[in-house]
Amino acid sequence: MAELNDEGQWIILMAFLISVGIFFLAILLNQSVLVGQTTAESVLDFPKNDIQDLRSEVWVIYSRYKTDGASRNSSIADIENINRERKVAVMKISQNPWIIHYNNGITNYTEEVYVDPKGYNYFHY
Amino acid sequence: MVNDAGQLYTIEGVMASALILTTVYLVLTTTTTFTPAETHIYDLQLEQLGNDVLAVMDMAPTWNTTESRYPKSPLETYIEQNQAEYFRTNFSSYSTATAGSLAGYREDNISFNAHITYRDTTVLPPEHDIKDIYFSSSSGSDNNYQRENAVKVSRWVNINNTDDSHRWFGEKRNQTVLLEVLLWRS
Repeated sequence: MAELNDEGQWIILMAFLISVGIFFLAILLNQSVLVGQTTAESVLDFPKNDIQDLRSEVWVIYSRYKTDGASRNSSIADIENINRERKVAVMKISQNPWIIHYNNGITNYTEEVYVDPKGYNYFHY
Repeated sequence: MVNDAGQLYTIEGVMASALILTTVYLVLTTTTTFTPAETHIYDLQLEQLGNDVLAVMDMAPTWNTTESRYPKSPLETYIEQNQAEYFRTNFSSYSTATAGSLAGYREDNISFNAHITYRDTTVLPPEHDIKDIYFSSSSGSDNNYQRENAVKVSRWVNINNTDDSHRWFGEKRNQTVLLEVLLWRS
């Protein structure tokens, strides 16, 4: 039987170690891309800007039409009706106490907007 | 006696093929997930940029010290008085400004198309009471959007639509309208 030349075994062993390292790095790279995607999707799905915009608009309406009930009610009706038509979400605004309610099927948000009795709030997004 | 001198070479060959196959598989899967991920991140950044620009424009530069502390914001004036050209100039400069744009660097190229949705309570049932009207766009015409990857941002705007001298849409009353802006890179 011919003698098997085994002088190259160290090289093969090192090759295994290096390849394991490369696999590990490739998996890290793969996962990091997925992390960026899921983060971006979560942020896009969450209606942060819709809610902030609604809250700031409620502040404007409250502050501007304190003694004008007709304008207040019709502005609120505008928001509720246009929103049903143009955005796939429900917005509801109650007065006294001022409560905003937002629901788009995934995110459900309710907040009692704090209204200072003297009306000196500088709260605006 | 069976000659087994080649066994090590065979095992080596199997290992090498496993390495190559796994590498190819990893490279291919990485490539396919990379494209949608990038689109989402760009969409996210563009949407945030658009919302920020609208928020800036809807903020009055000064506060009233009287009880009603919300003076008219620039955005409210633009919509109330149909100043589409002011809106176009300001929206373009806010959304495309980059660091160093004064020093002759190339500005970002973002295009937009803005529409207003309003409610008209005077119409009778066969006609729909929610209406839509073109307001402004980066090119100055309504037909500038073709098929680029776009995002939509919106802002509620409260206007005092009671002055007949510059009222240009909707009924005559204080009301809230929805400004919707389509944004894309071109």
